[in-house]
Amino acid sequence: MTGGVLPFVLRRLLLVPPTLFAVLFITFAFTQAAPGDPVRIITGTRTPDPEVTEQIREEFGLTGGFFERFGDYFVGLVTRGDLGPSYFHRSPQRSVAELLGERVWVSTQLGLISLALIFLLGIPLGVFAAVNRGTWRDPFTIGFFMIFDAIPVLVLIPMMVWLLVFGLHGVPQFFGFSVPSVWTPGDAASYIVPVAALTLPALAGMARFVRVSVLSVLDEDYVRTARAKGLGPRTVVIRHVLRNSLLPLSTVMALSIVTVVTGAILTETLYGVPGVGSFVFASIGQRDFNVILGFTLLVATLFVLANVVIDVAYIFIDPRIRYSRRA
Amino acid sequence: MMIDEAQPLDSGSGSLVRAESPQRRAWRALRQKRVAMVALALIVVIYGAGAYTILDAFGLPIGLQDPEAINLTERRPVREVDGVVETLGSYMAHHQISLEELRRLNPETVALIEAEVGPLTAATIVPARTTFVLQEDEVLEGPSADHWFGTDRLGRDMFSRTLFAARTTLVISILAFLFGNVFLGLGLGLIAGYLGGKVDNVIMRVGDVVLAIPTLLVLILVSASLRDRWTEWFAAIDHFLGTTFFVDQGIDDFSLLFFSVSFFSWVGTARFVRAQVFALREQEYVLAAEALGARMPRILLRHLLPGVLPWIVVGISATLGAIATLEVALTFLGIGVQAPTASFGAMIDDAGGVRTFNLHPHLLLVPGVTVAVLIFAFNLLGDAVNDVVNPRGR
Repeated sequence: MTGGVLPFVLRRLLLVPPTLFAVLFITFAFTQAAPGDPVRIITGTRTPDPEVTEQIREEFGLTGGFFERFGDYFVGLVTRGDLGPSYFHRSPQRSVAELLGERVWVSTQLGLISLALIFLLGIPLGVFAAVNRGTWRDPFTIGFFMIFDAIPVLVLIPMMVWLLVFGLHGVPQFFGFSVPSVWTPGDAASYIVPVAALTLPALAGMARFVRVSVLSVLDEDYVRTARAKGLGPRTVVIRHVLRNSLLPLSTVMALSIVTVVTGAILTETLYGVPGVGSFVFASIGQRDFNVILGFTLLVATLFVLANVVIDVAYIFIDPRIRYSRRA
Repeated sequence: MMIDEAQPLDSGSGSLVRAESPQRRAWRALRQKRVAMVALALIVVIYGAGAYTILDAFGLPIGLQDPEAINLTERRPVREVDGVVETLGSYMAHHQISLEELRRLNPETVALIEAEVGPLTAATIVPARTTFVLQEDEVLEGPSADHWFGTDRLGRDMFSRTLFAARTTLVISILAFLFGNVFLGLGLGLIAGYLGGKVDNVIMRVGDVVLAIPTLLVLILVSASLRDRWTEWFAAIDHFLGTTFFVDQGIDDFSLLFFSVSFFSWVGTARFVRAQVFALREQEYVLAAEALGARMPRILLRHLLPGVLPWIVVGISATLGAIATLEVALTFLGIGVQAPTASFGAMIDDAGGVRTFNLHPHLLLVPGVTVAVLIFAFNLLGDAVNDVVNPRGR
């Protein structure tokens, strides 16, 4: 019955390339199906010079049929990590990989800080709600953070900035920082608004997940035993409940990553953060499809790999789990 | 408690008291929760307002201002035909405006003319190309008796726009739920779970791929590549039927939006349903049905569907809330419902940045608070339903 750890990991890994290949194929097909000649988008004119057209087709690999183009793109991607040339950033000609690479660091910083905060704040909130079940504190804790989940980011950011910049006009300092109304390079206080906008909406989900998970453990016999032998409530929660209720959390991780990454498109655009999110937003307006395609692939890869890592890590975290083929 | 409430059996007539069904019991438990009932009431109000404006699509009068009517300043010059300047009377008749109204709207111009030619009458001839204001703009007004929620940048009535935006959310969220979660999610989940083997494998691997594609990004690509063609198809349908209903009512936008949202949101439901069906299909009653020669559609619909349906119902609230959230983001990215159709996303997008918010807070607060209340209510109701059906979390 037990397939052992290694075959499971292998089987799981074997599914990754075909999944990513399918993602690539589908998204590539959509970019190719977009109406309008890419040459027009690239040159920015409605009736480009035939000579220039020929030259650009050659340069951007727009000759040949769909499968030929797809083959070229695929080979370039696999062998050189090439995501194709940008349609918009042409003087000098930049590649999508380069453009994304320059902007990925800011976004990664924001994303990692937010993810850390979602876990660091969400877990205690969930435990607090669970321990206080049956009192007003439980629904109020969860309910309060559900408000932030309900407010669209597009409303949340202007209101937050307004509150910090205009509303608290008489208070020049906010915890020792003065928060700028748009992203200012080199100003550490610039991080406050985008990190809050990425973190706050996700807290309710995390807290609810932890709460349910803690509640299901709270009724276990070993918790009753721990209480019965006279351990303090704090010790019981930390030593016995928390350790066992946080296992399912790893499954939320992959989803949280995707939420934070795609949430970055709106947050970065609204606050003017020069990261990949705002860059992708600008590319939508510029119909720079190679950028959107490249970013989609990046996020999909991140998601698929995170899922594999979590599935595999689960085996080591929870020895009860044995993956095996369904009978 | 149940025993206390049960009626004694009437042995004389031999009729049995029907036991309370699980659905009724769940509904009764839900009614005990005040939060759930408040949330439900809020949803009914907002969705109800949206449903009310659907009447307008069929040409019925609904007593609301036109959500797309622009109220900007209107100026028209006095006309001159073959060197002959029209009289003020002809001007007023042509633009359907009274003398009092003209005086009120153009105090300075009128004062200047009266200083030269004396009091204005219908016979007065004013200098050619004199421009009168016919209508004052109603742009960026705060809430008032005329416009309960104020007006936007183009002078459109925000109250009426809010109601029509609720219609957009109502239509898209319900259709996306029915098509994505019920038709695709439930359908594919039932088939995958019941048939297993290769079919199951194919459906689930397709699901893996769909799940791996980030929804927001692929919807951008779908919209970019399909929107024009999609609109052409609907224009063709209109042409064939000899109407302009589909394009005028934005059916093309709506359908593209809910179809594409559906295609990328069915996986969660399908996985869940499949797991439930795996357990159910081993039950004796399914075996019995198979032994009696029941065909697959009958087994799926009559024997397996009732077992999973409650779980789908439980998920309605969260799904509708999630789609309402998605609509706002999609419209901001320029791929949602197209202007001038009212939607919460479009209204929030129009409200602009911090400086505008400081000057005209109602632009952002009206759609922002409405949509936040709707989503909050959906989440609260979803939680409450979950508690009732799945009491382990209590």
